[in-house]
Amino acid sequence: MKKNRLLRTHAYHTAILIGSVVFFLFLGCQKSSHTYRFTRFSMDTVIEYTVVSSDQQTALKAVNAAHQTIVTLDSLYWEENPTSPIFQLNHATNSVVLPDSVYQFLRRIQTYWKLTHGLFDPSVKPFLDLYGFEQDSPTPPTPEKIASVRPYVGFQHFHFQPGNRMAKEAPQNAIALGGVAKGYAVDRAVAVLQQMGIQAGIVNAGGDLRCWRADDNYWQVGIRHPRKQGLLAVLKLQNAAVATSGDYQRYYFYQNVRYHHLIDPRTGEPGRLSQSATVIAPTCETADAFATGLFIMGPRAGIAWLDSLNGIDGILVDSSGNVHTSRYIDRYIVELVK
Amino acid sequence: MKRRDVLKLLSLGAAGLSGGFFTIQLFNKEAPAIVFLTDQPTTDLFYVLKQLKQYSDYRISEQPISPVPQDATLFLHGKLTDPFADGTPHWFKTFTHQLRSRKRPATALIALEPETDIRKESIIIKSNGQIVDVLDVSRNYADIIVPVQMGKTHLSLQDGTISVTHASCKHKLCQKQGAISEGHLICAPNRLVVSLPRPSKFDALIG
Repeated sequence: MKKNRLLRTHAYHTAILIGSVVFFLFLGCQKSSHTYRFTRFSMDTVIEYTVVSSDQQTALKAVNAAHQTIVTLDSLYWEENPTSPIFQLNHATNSVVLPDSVYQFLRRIQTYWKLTHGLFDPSVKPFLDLYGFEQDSPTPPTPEKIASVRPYVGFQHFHFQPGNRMAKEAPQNAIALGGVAKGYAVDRAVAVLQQMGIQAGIVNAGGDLRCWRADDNYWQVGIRHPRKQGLLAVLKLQNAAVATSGDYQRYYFYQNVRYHHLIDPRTGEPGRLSQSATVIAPTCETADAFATGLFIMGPRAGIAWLDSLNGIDGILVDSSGNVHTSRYIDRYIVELVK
Repeated sequence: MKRRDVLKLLSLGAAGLSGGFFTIQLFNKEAPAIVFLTDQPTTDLFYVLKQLKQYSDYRISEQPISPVPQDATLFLHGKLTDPFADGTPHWFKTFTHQLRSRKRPATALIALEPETDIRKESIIIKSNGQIVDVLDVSRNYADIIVPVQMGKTHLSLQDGTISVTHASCKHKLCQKQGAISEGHLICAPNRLVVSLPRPSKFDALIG
């Protein structure tokens, strides 16, 4: 009897020991995933990388590679960088040969320009320069000044020629890639992170965001309200990009009138129909270009235009603060302040 | 020692070791942490990040606040420093001076913390640069008493939001900040910082 009890006790403790060791080994061996967040600075904005990885070193390595891509693209697409092809194009009298990637990018820009009925137009640079957003105490231009550069605005003045050659009709024709280059850079950074085996993550370059994940969960993305403190909406996204264009991002007040950087190519003045426009699209480049187009279009034309596109959705806050949404936006909405 | 006791000890040790895996990683104390109150969040954040570019990874949080004077605080090696003391970076002196000379009240609190891993569940309470408590965000506590320089500050954690219920400082700005569910609660006179985890509501903020 006594021997039996002793054996049972031993068996019991041995089971606990084996169980604990197995549990410990299981914890030691399994590669649990963590979410890491890194913040970097490039393209004149804060770039946030959220990556899901089994260890910090892998995450850091991937983020460093992705960020290097963004830094390289910044030097290629920033129109104020004297060595960038865009600077050379802007300062050319007639035509320049561009690197293939830049040429292809401008080709896509032309597509977005056409799809937005000319309202997303990077060739508004001559208008934009008149507003002096870089100055300490800027003043808006007079109607005469706007009229004087009007002939040089319009992407139809740029021509794609064989051999990656881009020609422009007048030396004054110039482009500012501002927002859309950021969207492209985000897409490239996401591609690098995915190539390096990151299964899920978010790249957020000052409001141009793209996220991806392989499981059934969602990333929740908050969108700031253009006027009120707090949020306009919370979106649930899996594999998507989202970008917002707002009149509160780069602006100044002159005689109580807000002058912002989203210039209507038709008038040469800041778009007056919207406070903010958010677009959800498969790529960040598209979301970025379309958000600018949607902002200029305003609620009536803009929402109808969004509904005519496949797989593109959006939220627009009009100049009175009313919220308008595309037909199928509900699939992304967690919360929406109306 | 009996064989049975050895077995017991071994099982306890193994269980303890596995528990050790969940130990929280504390802050990286090399890079400075900065908290500032401003009416121009984006412009000022860009400026600060440009100055901090030698340090790579920052967790940045921004939250709207009810109007208070603009100011900035700097934590070096986890300790709050006097902005105008010797050894404080020159740019930070200029930045603080610039903020304090602005006439408009601050509308946002921006905090930059050198940290990479997102801890989703823990609230960290630091007094004078030292961690004094780590709370589980999912728990509710009616009264958390934190010993600080000017006495005791009382906090309350309810449904993921934390607030100062009784402040021991003069102006009680921390108490006026109300209940927050993300970002930081700061009591500068008491050198008290309550850091909430990343907002559980969303993973990124744009616009």
